[in-house]
Amino acid sequence: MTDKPLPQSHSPDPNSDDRRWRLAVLGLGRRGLEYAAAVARDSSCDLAGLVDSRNDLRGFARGCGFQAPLAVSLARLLERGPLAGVIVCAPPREVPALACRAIEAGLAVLIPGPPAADLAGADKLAAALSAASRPVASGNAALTHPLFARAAHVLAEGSLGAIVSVRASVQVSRVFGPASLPPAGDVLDHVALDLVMLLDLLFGPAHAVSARAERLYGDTIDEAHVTLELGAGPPISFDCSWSVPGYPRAAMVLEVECKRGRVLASDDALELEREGTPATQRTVLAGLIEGHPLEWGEAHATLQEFTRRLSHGMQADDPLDLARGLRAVRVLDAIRGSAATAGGSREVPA
Amino acid sequence: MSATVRRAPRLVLGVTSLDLPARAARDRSLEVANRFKESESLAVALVKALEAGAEALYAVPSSSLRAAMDELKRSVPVLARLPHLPLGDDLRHEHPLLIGTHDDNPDVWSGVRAGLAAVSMLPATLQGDLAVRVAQRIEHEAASLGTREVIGVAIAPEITDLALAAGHARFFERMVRFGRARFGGVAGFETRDLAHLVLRLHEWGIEPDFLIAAANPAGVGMTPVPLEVEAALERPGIPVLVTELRGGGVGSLADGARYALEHGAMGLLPELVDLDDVGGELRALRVMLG
Repeated sequence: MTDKPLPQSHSPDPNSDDRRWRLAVLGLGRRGLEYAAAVARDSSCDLAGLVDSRNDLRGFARGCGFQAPLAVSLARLLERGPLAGVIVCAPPREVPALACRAIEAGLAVLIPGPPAADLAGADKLAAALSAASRPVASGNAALTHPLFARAAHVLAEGSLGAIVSVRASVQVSRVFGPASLPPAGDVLDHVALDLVMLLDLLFGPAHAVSARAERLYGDTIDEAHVTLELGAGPPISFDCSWSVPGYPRAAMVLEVECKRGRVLASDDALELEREGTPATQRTVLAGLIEGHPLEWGEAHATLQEFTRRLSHGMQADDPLDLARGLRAVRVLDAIRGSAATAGGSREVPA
Repeated sequence: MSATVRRAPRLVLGVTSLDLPARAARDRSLEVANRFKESESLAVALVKALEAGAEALYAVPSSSLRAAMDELKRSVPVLARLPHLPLGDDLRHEHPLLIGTHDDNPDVWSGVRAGLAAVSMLPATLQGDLAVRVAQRIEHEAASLGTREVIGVAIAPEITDLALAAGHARFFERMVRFGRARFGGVAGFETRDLAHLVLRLHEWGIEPDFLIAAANPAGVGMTPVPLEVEAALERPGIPVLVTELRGGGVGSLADGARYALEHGAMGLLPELVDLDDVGGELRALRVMLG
């Protein structure tokens, strides 16, 4: 991407009722195309541009039929017309620089995947965040998933009493040998990040971690067993693996023991046990999801949440707050540090 | 495009839930995967399905299906869900169609095997069109299913809906022509966006032999809203095979089938994950279809 100075902000008037958000997608890999499709499908948005420095990815996007302008950089795209925001779908290493350029241009930003690949990237983005004039969000499906949202509501209302223990896991069947390892990233980047963000949303930021990691097929972490220490409340333990058979789709499970009950939430079902109530109350996703944007996939659901922020701004402690994504990157870094010392406690940098 | 005289099968057993995420409770998915872990047990289920009146299997190319079909002494008609995008590709940045296949065979266009179907793709080849990449992948993958047994092809929903969102009319036209020419059978599309797809296909004047989409009384998988999907089902013109009849397990198969047929479905595509008694339940659906 080029470093040309950017033109001024091109955000439309957010008070106009008939606006359509002109959004561009930066990074035209698999996720970028999913978001391009979601934007193209959304009646409140216009797909105003597709940006990637790679010729093959731009060519593929055009071959898919997208007619939006293609550009090698955000600066080039902005020369062709105004934008309200960008969705940054580049590889994690490239995300901070791209997001910073967009913030600098006064654009709203959505980062659906990891907001940074390492602490340096997270710090760079955190510094830029303070100057953001428009919503800057990082999102994943777990943060707005209807079953986890219901679990959060039950926990927040307090009828189950104080939380005694929290255990969680996320598993998926992907890596069963060196040949199936991805070119970049480990199970923490690809699988655990969403769970860490969800735990942060539900229980607050982690201050310290201890972790053990399994490297089954080489140097890459394939499984991790983690304990998160929070400022208040009991520690949270979670396991993650991408080498478990039987899980074609990632399975995220959260088990919360409270003084007067228990919540077992997953992306599949929610079970609620209340003291003094004999029957377990069970809600399945299929019975809850009709009309939910998640039906159209994660990209559509996250985009809808983002456009809501474009209209109404970010809330206090917004589920999509980028700060949460950046904290998750720091937690993952601390997990790697702890695993390298066979489970020694590591502070999560503020 | 001229009116088609091709007829898509009306009762199809879906076995994609053995290889792809299915809309069912996780315990149920695990149970079914475990039940058909051995190729012999899957082979028995396939035979029961065909004897109960299923006209084809809806399947992706997979080693488990190949092993089950090899157990059988009879031909098994397959409606192939292609291209098959391996789940592991979601760990990569690039779109799966740019990654190439995961076996030792080179992912190259075989003009010899594709014959006239390849000729129809020449203009698209020059434009770097999605249709060419999809056709290349289909050509490659159909071989592993046993092309003599493939009676038709349904473009996978990930690709259908990508092209639909991009408004790529030519893709649909090219894939219908390619699918029919390549397999001498039917060509259609699976979608998670039936309402918009039907609307656009009518606008574009493109008539695939069938579409595959979810419909059930609970409205699960019926995007954007069930009313629009029902309207699409009821619109005459393009036949629809309905899947996800149990709505992820919240309803019964019979209720789902009744609902689908009442709203104009041409055929039924129950998935293995939705069946307890493959022979018995398919026989009942056959009766409902008449």
